Amino acid sequence: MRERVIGQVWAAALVILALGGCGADEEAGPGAGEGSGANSGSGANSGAPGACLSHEDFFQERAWPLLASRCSGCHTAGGLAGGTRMTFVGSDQPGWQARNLAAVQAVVDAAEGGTPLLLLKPSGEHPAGHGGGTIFAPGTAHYDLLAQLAGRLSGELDACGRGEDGEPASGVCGELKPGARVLRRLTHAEYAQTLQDLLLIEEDVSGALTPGEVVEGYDNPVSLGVSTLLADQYRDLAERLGRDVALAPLLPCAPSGDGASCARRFIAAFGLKAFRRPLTEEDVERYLAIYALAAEEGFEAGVRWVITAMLQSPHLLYRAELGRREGDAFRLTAWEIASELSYLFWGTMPDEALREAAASGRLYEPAEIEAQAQRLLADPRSERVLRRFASQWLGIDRLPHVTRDAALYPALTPAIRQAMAEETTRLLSELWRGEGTLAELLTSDHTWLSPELAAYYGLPAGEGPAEPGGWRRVALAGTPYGGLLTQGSVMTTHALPTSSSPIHRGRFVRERLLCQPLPPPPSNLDTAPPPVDPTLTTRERYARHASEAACKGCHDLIDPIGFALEHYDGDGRWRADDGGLPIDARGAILNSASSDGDFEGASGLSAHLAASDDVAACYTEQWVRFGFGVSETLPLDCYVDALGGGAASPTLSGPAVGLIQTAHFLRRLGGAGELDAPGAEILPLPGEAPDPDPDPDPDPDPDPDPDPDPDPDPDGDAAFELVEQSRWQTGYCADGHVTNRGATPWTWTVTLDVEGTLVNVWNAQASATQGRVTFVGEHYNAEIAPEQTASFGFCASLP
Amino acid sequence: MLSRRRFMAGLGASLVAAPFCQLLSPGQARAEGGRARRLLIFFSPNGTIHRFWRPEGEGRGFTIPEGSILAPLIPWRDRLLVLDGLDFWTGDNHEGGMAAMLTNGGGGSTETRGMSLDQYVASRLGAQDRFPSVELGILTDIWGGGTQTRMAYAGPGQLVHPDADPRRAFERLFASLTGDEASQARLRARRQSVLDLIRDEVGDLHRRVGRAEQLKLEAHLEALRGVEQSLFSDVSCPIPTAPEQLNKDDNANVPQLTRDQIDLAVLALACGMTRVASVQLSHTVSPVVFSWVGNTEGHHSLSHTDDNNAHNLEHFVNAERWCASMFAYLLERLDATPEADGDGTLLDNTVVLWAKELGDSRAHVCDSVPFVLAGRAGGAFSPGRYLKLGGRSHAHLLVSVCEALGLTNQTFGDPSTGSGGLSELA
Repeated sequence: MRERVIGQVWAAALVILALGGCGADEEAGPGAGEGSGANSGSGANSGAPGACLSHEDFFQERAWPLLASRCSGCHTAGGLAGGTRMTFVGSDQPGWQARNLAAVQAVVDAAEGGTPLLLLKPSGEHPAGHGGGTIFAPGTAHYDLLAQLAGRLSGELDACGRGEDGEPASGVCGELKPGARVLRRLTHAEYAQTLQDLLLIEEDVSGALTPGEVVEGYDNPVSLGVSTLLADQYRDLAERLGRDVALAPLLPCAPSGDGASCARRFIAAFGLKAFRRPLTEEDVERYLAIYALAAEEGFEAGVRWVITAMLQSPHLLYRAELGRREGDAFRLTAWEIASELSYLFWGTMPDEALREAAASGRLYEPAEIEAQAQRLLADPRSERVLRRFASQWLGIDRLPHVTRDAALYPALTPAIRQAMAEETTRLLSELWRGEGTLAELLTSDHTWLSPELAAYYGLPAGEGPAEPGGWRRVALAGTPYGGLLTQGSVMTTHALPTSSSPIHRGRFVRERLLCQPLPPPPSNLDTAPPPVDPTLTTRERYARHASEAACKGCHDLIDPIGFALEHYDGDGRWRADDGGLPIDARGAILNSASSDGDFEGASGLSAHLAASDDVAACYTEQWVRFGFGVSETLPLDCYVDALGGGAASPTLSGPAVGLIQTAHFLRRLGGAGELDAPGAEILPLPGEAPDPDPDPDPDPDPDPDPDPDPDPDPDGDAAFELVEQSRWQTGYCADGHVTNRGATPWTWTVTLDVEGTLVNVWNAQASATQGRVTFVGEHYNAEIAPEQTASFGFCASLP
Repeated sequence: MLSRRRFMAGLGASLVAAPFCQLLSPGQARAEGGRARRLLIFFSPNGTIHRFWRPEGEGRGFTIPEGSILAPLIPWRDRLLVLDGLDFWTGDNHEGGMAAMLTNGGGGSTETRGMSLDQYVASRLGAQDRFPSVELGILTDIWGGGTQTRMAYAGPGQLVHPDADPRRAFERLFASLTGDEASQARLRARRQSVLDLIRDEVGDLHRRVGRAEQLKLEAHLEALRGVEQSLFSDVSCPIPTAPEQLNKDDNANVPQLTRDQIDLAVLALACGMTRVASVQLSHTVSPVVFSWVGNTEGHHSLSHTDDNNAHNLEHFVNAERWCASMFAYLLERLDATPEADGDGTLLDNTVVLWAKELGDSRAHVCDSVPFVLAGRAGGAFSPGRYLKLGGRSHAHLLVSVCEALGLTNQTFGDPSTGSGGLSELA
């Protein structure tokens, strides 16, 4: 094996250097060409609320599903709100559509202070309150939908949802609008993962931080902030990690003199990762001052305090989704997009490839965003985000802590609970990666089991080679298991300490799979759960819910769903009978938007849900919540519609990947006085990225002159090309391409006179000697076969 | 500007087993003329069943029946004010009750600006303390933060999260500066410069963003101010023994976690680290199983037991009686801690309030929510009585607590629920 050493002096500016008379690199860089589609929100109109519909159709198609699921529990004759002006009848009644429309018309016509009761009551804004509490808060998409209904029924809006001025009413989707510019505080899991990747540590520090708000089941709402307690916990962690972390792997240089120049390089390199953007000169100066203060105890102490400070910096703690002003909106910077992608799919800071795509400006291209998303999703690191999504969507993040009577359920050990959660993640992951659908998840004919979990369920452990831990894919045909709802994780989480719970399970399906939140139990009702009675089945104990009018309105929405799951006990296992009594597992969904029907058992319920448009739309909605963070400013329903809504059962990955091409992923709305993201002034603009292959001619200058300088490649069978990818006020990034023009493989070494200070390097190892930087390949690209090219890249900061 | 006075000598030394030292901060002025010096709130969830809770008799002649929920407080009878018949006029049900309990609703434009009782008092009295307030929880992490799981509010919708890990809380409270004078000075200078830097960065972000995000950043700045205050104010207490490291999310650890958090709260008050502390035992809709008193059902399920189910009623009462025993433990610790100036014990000069979020748990209503006050509040209260208050708004209780601490607000939360305190307490 020969070695090829390539030397080059590179001063500055955009250069394409070829060495040894060989041709320019033939590989066109990614992301060449077209301008970046600014209007990614276009095309989101189809099916959006607000398309031209008669008022009757609008009521029936858009509003009634909402009213049926959220209001009719109480607003029926005999229901808790049966005596009010708005009393609905079921779809089995003659003329039900017209009667229900008339009921709504009555509370539109009844207005107080110019606002119809239809809006005043469920928003909780009526002075006398609303018996069911606040159902539709102002500013939410549901409220806007009701406002549009009120506008139509009062004659203020036309069939296209437009007022006299021709402008669409608020709440009409129209062109998909992005949400507000936000600072999203990292969740504790994201912070911990970021620190692991940034500091190259194994420790998971999330346990040192007190949990914050959980909204709609998700721990990443955009409202997260920093309290005194949390700030103190960050400080404590940052001081400890700054003190204890191994410095050698983090340092890009060895200090000389007062160490300030190496400190500057460290700050730029470490800060680029920590803040997920290049640092401005002002940033660098701030941290140099910290360095200087602590460096009285030496270079290391100075660097340690820089780390301690950066770990508490708002630029690390918050993901800035602020962008740069572009017309009347803000366009997120390529670095912010890199961060969005990385936290969405990996739950951590961007890796080198993403940073490079951001630095080069390529990430402004939708095709590059898509390619990066696919790369991230194909990587095992996406597992942890899938796991987090599944556990919060399904509520099984509580599985380790739900209390069970150990005397009744002795086999439900902590290890079994953990295995149950793992089972769910594995099935989800397998289907996700195989382009599986939500319907397949709900009705899956197989699952993943460890030998212990298989024994727990009484199922075979599967055959063939197992994955680590003994996990195997196990076919379930002919067993009472199959589909998400029969998994121990879901059934155990949604149960009671000493029994199953049709209530908890019905509510779970209603709220998490159908996205139809239920009002809390009303006051002044005796809501005692029926006592365990050995002469009655669980279902029979709950019979009162269906016989008493005050209970029936709401419990009709809940119990009949849960009854279908009565074959699964409070420990998540199938049971043939309920304490010796036969189980009646017939169930029904009532008063849903479009999922009403009868079924029997878990398989019947699962098949019914798998065919439901509501469930498909709900899954999409869950991803909008999880992906973008629960937010007051995002028109949720419009995003669900734009992402395909409930058209057909989506692939499991579809809604998640769809997020990245929506308006909100790329742009934000902001007020007149708001300013660009910090550091935006030094980043490349969209379209500014240099075309990496300006000359596609595969046959470049054949000039064979082999002798520019002392040529380290006397054989002339190596070609090297350096391409600057981007440049800004205080830095630049470049790619190097080494091509083997010879007939035998060799390993390469490139020595460059790098302008400025090296900030990061990918696909190569760099070492600096006497002002020059030597790059050698990684294990996977060090050796180049004939006619092959190895590429690497780096970014550097400029003084 | 904050004081950066020298930390007291001896802080770095670990003085074991002195948890109830007679070392009150001289910075806390002696109460004068019937004024309490501190506030300590204890919470336990899921309402009550009144017939098992109510004492017998009325006024000074009351008795606490053996076997009732309050039985563990019989030895403390003369130090208690048992309050019956206070209603929440601003909230019902689990969530509404949890939110109204310490805020009484009303929003940000009220006299108390949407804050909870503890946070309001802290904002008025705690500005110079190492910690304006200290919030401690037991099993409050598992469900994350939400209306169900939090009782303290820094303003409308601004939840204050308690620390559920006694060990972590201990380390925060007693975070010590070790080493010699010079190294302490260096550490302080570095911490200060880091705080200054972060403040600059937050300020820079602040000018770039819209109002909602500015509010988020303003809260961040406020948090940094709190950190600075806790780092640079005086501590005058030897470091006691740290609590054992326990799994803070394990149901079985609740008894030890509760005692640890009570110990910490009393320590924080005794050492003058704060004058406002709270101990929140789980939260509304709590699924905790009080297995150590023989229960197998979750507390929330038991709290909905109807009168025909004697077995579950007994289990609910057992759980509630255990909570009362923890409140008794809290009183014991306070009373075992003499004031530094020799004027009685901490219990004598602290407003101690046991609060719940519901009245009759079966009905999901906040009528006749059971409250128990303990101690003389420095003379502001006259304990040893059972008061039947006949459906008045609990706003008056909240105002009375403020009055006892020397504050002058006439309303608490929603002003339409009435003004003034409960004159009966004096």
